[in-house]
Amino acid sequence: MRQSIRLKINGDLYEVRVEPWWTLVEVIREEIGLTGVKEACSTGECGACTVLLNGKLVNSCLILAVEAQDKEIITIEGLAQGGKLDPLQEAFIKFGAIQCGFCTPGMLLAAKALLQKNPQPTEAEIREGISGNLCRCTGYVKIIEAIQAVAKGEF
Amino acid sequence: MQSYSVVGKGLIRVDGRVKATGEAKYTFDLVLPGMLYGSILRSPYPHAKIHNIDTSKAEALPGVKAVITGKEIGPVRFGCIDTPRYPADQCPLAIDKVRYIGEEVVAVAAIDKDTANEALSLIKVEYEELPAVFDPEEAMKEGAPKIHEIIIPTTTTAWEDFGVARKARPYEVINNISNNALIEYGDIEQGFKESDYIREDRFVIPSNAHVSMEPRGALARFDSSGRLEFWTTHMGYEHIRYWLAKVLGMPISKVRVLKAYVGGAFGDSCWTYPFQFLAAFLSRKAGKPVKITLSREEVFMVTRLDHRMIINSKIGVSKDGKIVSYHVKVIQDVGAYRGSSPTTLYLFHVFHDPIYHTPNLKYEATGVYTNKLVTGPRRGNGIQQHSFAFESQLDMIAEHLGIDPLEIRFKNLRKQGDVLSNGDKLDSYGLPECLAKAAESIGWKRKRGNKKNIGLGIGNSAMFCGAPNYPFGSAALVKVNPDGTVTLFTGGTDFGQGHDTVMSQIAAEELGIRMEDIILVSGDSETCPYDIGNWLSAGVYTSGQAVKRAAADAKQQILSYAAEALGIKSDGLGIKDGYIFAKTNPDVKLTSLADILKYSIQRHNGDPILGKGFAKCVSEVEFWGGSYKGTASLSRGRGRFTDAYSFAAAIAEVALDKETGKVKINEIVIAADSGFDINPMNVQGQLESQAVMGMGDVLFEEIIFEKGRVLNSTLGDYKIPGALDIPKITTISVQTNEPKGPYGAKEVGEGARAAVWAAVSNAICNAISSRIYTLPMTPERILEAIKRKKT
Amino acid sequence: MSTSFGYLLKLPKFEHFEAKEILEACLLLSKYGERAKLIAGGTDLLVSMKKREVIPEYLIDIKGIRDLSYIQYQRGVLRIGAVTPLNDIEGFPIIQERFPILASACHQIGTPQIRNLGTIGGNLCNASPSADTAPALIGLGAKAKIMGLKGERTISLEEFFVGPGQSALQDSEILTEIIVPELPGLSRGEYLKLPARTTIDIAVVGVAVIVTFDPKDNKIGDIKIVLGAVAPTPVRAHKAEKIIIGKTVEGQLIEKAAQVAAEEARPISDIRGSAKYRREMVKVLTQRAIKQVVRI
Repeated sequence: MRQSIRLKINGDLYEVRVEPWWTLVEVIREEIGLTGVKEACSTGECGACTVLLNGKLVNSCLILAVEAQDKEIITIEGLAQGGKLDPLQEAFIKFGAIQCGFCTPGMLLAAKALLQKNPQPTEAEIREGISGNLCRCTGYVKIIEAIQAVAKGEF
Repeated sequence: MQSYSVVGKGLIRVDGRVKATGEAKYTFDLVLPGMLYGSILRSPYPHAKIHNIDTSKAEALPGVKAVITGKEIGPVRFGCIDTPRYPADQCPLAIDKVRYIGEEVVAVAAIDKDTANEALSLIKVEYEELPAVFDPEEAMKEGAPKIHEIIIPTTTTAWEDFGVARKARPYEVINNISNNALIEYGDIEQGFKESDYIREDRFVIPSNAHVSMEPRGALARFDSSGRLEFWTTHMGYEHIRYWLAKVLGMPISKVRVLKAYVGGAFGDSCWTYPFQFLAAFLSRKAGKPVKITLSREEVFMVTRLDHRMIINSKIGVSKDGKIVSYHVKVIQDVGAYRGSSPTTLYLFHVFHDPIYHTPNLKYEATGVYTNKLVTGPRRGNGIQQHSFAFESQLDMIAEHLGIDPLEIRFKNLRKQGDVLSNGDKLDSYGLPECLAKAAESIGWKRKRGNKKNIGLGIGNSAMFCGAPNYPFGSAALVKVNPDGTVTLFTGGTDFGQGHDTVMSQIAAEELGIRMEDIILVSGDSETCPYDIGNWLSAGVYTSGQAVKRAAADAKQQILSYAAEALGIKSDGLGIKDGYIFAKTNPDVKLTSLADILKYSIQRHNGDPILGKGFAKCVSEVEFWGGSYKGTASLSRGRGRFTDAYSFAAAIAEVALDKETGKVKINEIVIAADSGFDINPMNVQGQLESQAVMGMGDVLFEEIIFEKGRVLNSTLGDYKIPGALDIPKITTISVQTNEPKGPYGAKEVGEGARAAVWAAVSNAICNAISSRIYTLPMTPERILEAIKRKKT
Repeated sequence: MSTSFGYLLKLPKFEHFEAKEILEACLLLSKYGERAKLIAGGTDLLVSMKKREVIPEYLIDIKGIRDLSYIQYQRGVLRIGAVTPLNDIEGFPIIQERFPILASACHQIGTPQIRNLGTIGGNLCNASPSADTAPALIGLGAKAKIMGLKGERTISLEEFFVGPGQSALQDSEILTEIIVPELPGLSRGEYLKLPARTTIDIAVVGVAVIVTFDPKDNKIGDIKIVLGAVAPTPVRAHKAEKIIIGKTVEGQLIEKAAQVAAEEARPISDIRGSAKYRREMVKVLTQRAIKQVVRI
């Protein structure tokens, strides 16, 4: 039996009818149409489905849509403000931290959450911050460099 | 040393912004009006007869719009390799038999995923389980279960379609052997007689998985005129089009593959999968678009895995470490269908040849069917298995003879200008410099033998730059726009490696315009001209050359009209940042591309200035007129293969916890000869990626089979390196300026992983002073090897 | 590979109830019995459901029950609500200061994303033999407060684990609180985890050691050695502990105790490691943990 829920995503309010067994990542992508968040493993291992839920970094493939009602959700589409890219997005582009791009939305949100909590992280802390986001293309080196550059204030 | 404006610079990706904002649409993200969702019923048995399939209940489920079985499609086959000798052997849906767990049996399309999945549970399949065989050496024995009997071609092969008048022959499978290769030259027996030291070792290499971040998928839409539009995770559209057209029985011109962003490939999805055909069949039957996306577990279950091999290798050397004779026997466990084995087995030898000078050689390889997952290329197609075995033996030989492992490599490397056994010539050969620079960077001389509990290891690799196999070559078009920008049409597929960016750089450099003035149209089979694809390691080398020539063609037209308009000879003119200048006075802007376009249209009756360029790998090789000249024989090794080889040398330093067997990699250095780095930042990214991928393969990546079942089929059970696992990585670029490459560029991005395999393996074995002959080198295996050495 | 259609990694159909109070959750559990499961963070349950390892028809969501998510420290006793996320526990200043072994154990579970969702109660009730919070908590002498329709009871955490995937919870019972008693003055603990392959991975062996020093002569007043991932449940290495209690520690004694601990383990072989390797690693980790704790 579908029920109506309210989801607040990137400041916008959506009302959708969902089944209890639909995960948040499925609903964001398929019912609301925000495809920036990706589902790459379905079991909470890879972080491609990362969103910020009430400011916390979480795997949206492990959250039921009905559980996310009335919580503040930020997806990659909410990172750039008014068409202006976030410094992390600029840095990722400039440092070559993006190749196929599939892990990028989740990785950017993880980096954002890290810098919000810890604006001057050490390299070890950066690695910890993105440890829940798998990338197969870059080998992580340029991702770490990009985050370091933003932390240093270069963007 | 020429200075360039655009190439040779680490410019940002042209698709960086859309990927950073989440706008980029991958196949997974695409939605079309009226779209249906497809789901696939898969075999739970490794080997079984299918007696009956009852789909009636599934078809009756409200919301189900189409159901297809193998009987309906018929025995039309596809494959990676489809030659007269090795005709394609796999059907999109199993008809009378299943040959591996996960094989596709029925496909369903419904209005939503839930309904499609529910429909699967309503389908009844009557299986009769057959004895299965999982070990290739067992499979080759008399009396082993027969996986295939006789493969009868149902259509012409790709070779025949391209002009080779050799009819496809039925392939009778005897003792489960799927293909063979025998390459020899010199006299190995005499060579062994002359050798001072001979080593014979056996290596066993398991499968590992690509784990691209985007799970595989396909979206198909037939329109009412019978045209097919197709989006999928792939590495080159010509191949996809060709097989879709063939299997669906339609003209290739009615198959359009459109561009979708691709979330990683690494060799997977270079050729077609059943789910791609099934999306198309379902769409045709239902009259609606159909999208099939695989779950991560399905990706592990049914997509191709890296090649499983048993390698018996015998090397004879002189007392100062020079290779005299090399006899290697490879048994490859290909899986239930042939996959890319004929090519892989050929490449195992072909990639050895350019690295080390080997006077006497015999290479025997056999591909064997087993009831397991099919194998295919994974970032290297035979080179990584070869490097692991050969480089391990070189280290053991060096130790026995008391020679520095670095020196023994230098002794046996080739030199620039060498002609290989298949006729390929090494016009650029940067491996000695790569090895020297890598050794210096890591501090080889200083560290070797001087530090406790650390190990150092070396590995070398080679990779080709395109081959004259289907699709043979590439073309590109360049169009000047009214505002002076230029649109570049090039068919290549960017799956993260930066193809779009590099092609744009080449075009901009050649034309003399800014990078931001290139508008790229890529990856669309309708709007782009012919393209070799990005799975034959020909992206930069062949497509890049086509782009360069198209840009040069357009430039020549522009300058000839500018000469007319300005009254200056065209060889006295140049283009910079989109402005034409006289070479005698370079700082004065005389006119612009936009103006010349206007001139051309007004004064030359509407001439729009279109540049055309094309390139083929190995122009001496051709298929035409019913015969073929000089092509490489996959099974005999003779015949030209490629125009250039790229190289990589890797050195790794590891530290070992001798109580737990856990390895910490301190550093990996990769020095690569990629000819000329069109985009240095891109090249670094490729090398860093290969360091991490190679490290994962050696330390823990392995697909674990039990009676044909993949035991570790989720990302929790099959681990890939994360940010906390990576070591210090140093990349070095060696520029040898390959004369036939665009701006001297060669391949980079595939070969170095093999060098890393060998380097990390050798480093671990050096640290424990013992040898492990298999992968991955798990802590347990390391502890056992340490114990073995003590006894 | 998952059973039947587990390979699709999609959740099966179910009905979802949001319980607002503990009693409500117990009543629902009682009503639906075997056909229902509690869901808190969902990081283990939803994965099992996608793989079709468990297929409950009803999910009873207890995340919203305020009485179940809290961290209190009063008079030396630590009380943690069962639905408290692991990250909150890891980052709690008092826990980092007074019970660092617990912060360390929580930190070694999964990724940051998982720790934001996963709860301590979930980690314990899932009752995996390799649950990372279990050895540390058992070593700390923690107790589990359980509420059911028949009332409330408190048992030691050691008794909470009955078998692989099986906890001591009966019928409609819910784990509500973890109680960690005050630690005697001179106590130190360490949880060492050997991840199977990558840095973030399931434990192939986990060892928690908590030592209480006798203030008079600095000998070992008390020691708890708890082994994870090497038996059907987390287990105390009682025999190994007896070797050390009351003694002055030095290298040979530690090695002996570690050897005995290894013999007390009952590991199995699986894709992450063989029983033989696990047993050897119990010895290695126990030795290292004790040495680290006593600062040798």
